[in-house]
Amino acid sequence: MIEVKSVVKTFDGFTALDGADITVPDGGVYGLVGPNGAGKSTVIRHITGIYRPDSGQVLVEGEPVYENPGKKALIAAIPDDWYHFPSATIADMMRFYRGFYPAFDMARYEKFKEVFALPEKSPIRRMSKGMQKQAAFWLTMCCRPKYLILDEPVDGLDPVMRRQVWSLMMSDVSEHGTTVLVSSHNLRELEDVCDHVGIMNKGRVLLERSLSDLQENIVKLQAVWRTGEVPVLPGQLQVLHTSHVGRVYTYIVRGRAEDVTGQLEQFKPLMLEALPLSLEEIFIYELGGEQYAVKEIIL
Amino acid sequence: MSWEVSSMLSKRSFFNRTLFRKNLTRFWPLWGGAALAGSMVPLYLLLALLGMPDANVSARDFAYALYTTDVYAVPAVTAGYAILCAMAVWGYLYNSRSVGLMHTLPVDRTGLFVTNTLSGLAMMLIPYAVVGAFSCLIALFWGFFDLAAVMNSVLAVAFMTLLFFGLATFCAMLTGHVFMLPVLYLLMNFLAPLLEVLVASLSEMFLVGVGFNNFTLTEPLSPILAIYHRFSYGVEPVENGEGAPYLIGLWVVALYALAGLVLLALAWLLCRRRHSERAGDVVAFRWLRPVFRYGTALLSGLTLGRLLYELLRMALFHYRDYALVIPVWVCMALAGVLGYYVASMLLEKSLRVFRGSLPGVAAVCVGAALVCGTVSMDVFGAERWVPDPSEVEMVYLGDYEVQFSADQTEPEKLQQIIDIHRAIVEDRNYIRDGRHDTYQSGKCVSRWINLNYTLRNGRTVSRGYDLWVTADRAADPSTYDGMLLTLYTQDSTAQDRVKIPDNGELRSVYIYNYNDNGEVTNRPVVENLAVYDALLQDAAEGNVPGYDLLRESSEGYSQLGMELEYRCWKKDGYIHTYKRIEVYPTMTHTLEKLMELGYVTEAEISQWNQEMGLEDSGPIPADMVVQPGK
Repeated sequence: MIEVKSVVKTFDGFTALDGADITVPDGGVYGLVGPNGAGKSTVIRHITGIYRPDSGQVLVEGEPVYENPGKKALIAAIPDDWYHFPSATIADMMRFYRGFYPAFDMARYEKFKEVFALPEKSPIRRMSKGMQKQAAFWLTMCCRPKYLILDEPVDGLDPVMRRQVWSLMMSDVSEHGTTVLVSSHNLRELEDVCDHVGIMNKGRVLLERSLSDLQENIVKLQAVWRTGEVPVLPGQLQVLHTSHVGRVYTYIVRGRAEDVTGQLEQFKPLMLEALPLSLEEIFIYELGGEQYAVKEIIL
Repeated sequence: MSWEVSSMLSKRSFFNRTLFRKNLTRFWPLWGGAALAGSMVPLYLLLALLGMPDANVSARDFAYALYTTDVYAVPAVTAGYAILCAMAVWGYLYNSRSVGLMHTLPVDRTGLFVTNTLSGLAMMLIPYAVVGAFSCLIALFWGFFDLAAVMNSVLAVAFMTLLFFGLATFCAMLTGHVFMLPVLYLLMNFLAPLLEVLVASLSEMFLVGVGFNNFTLTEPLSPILAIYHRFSYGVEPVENGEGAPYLIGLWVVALYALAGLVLLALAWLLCRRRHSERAGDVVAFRWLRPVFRYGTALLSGLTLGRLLYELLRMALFHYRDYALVIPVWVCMALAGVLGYYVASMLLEKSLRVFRGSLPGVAAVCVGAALVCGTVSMDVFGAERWVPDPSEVEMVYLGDYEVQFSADQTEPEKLQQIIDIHRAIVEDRNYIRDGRHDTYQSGKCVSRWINLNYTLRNGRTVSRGYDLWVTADRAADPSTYDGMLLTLYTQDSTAQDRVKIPDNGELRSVYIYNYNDNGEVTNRPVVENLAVYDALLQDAAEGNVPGYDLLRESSEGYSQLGMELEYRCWKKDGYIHTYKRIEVYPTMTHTLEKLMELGYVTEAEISQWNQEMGLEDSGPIPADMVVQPGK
């Protein structure tokens, strides 16, 4: 398990993390989402042992990860700007990784030659961004990490390769119990793979839940009221957003669908329907309360 | 492999073989190129030996060549090469992507530090090992191998490698920018002497006699200067030739190697505390930011401020030799503020550094005022300093023509020289303010008088005075002019002109004279001892005149002269030196001996005297001679 406890990190007066708390349970896929500058990459750099927190703790299996080679050997990471030595080939980088990660799997490396179909002996710097990303996945997954940390992992990959890479990772999760922590803006993609989601904004984690809990705890209601009879909703309902087109009113409400529907039915709507929210909608409406509402632009 | 097993395998280690190998394979062009370039020297030796089958090269020659390389080439080459190796192995710290990769690896900072340090040291030593092995093979094959010299050279190279790589590594930890590393390294090598020069230069603007002479105070803080000054080689004295060479001051290099180890230890501590996110910053620690900011302001104030003042002086104060405090302060403050803002821009990586900078600017202006005030008011008494004779081990007083020395064995002469110094110091305001009027008022000459003290506590102190000596003041024995005249013309001075020191050994005598075209001819004198005896006889009889204090350097030299070449034994070997003596008509024994031996003719002497206008008045024109007390 990875635990980030009340971590604060400032860079020359700018607070990048302001008491962030994250718990990544073992054997699942944890999606870290948030707007630009929310602190996702900073959290990941703490978890991979690059940054030392100003205060708080970053624990892997109960031990601080910073300056802890034993725990760092369990972690492999692909940052959004993966580094390779300037003239290195994939084979060079393989030898480099193999020297550091005792679980490096050469058989897998050979097997992945067919999956990724990259020129093993060509300098990586001459490859396209997508090919470099594939090389990063090839090498990192051969390290057989217990914790795979990915920062914007599939940026630059074509759709086929995205699916291929996710498929490989999901098989590692199911067969080997690998824990994947992934930060991404592609919420549609995360929705398909994540068990848990943490939403960050301004250096803090706003909420952290399993995806099913998250989706069960917020609901989109569409209601049609009689003309001139739009009711005032009860105060105990946490309405995150309201909009209407004609007589059709749409409410984003925090709570279980059955509970919220029950409370609205007393106003006898002409029509009332509860719809599930996508992760993207949850992200937008949850952050709406943090002054991150989608602003309507009038041309 | 299960994670439990992998966890056990990745136990803490201070050395990582993969990283070491990677460093060496990544940067092989650096050490390979250095090895190739260095191998040109033994290759040249090999080709020379093949081309001269009868060449007689001895083990002494081999040792001599090794020591010459150790003393003259190795310090500069090692100092320069160390920074390249440091930039190679620590370069990852200066890029956020590479630092991200290295710090994600399952190795702690200590493991990275030790492995990178060993990689850097290996990259430094491999070229030396290749060149040394190549040279030794040649020496063994031709039979002039000298094991002791090789071992000494190995030690010298190892010590200097440790020192310069340690220093470069220490600098590497202080900065987060790859281009700042060589700048910082250069500063670490030369900052202390640079500051000494700058402060001395500032003192020179205000104070009489105080200025830069040598790096006595700061030399130990500049490893490269200290090594070049204190690390050398000597040759064992033997009859009929020169003996085996030996290194002098290897222990000094060993001490600096220890300092290199200390710097490596400090670098390790810094490495552990250093934040990865400092990649790209000019300085890697917050506490260094004010040091960098105000340090740059100070250096800028002392250098650019001085330059600015010189421009101002040329335009407004060109008649002044000594500076006014206010203009110097203004120039220093302006240049200091400029340095402050440049440093701020580098630190903030932005040009917008002006808001809120007023306290810093005020601090720089106050600092400039303090520096100017302290120096101009001679707070530390440098201008007024005159030693007590009991403090002095040895003193030299001299100008372009003559040098006098005295130590505790000659208390009267020591006192005489110190009294001259005191008289000059007491007249410092006269020297500072009035000399242009004096120059217009009558006969006077300019003399640059140097005083070099070696004190009993080991310190050396130098003073240099640009003095106007006038005939009027020289007549007064209480003035420095009169005291100098006494020193220059007394009997013992005349004797010292020709007598070589008691521990000296005369090696050869040359006679030189100017022909009609003004060219110098130089001839060796075979009967050197006979001529030297004649010189001593002239000195004993008072035929050798003293020095003419009021003669301009360009006027009145005798056309006939002699050069006595001799050597003195010092603790580290023989010092070869010489005396130049002008031969005047009064030196009758010398002239007779030279005529007797056929080196000059009576007609030549008569012609020279006529040309010099010395026939009637003797060696020194009568109107220029002022005797003490007259």
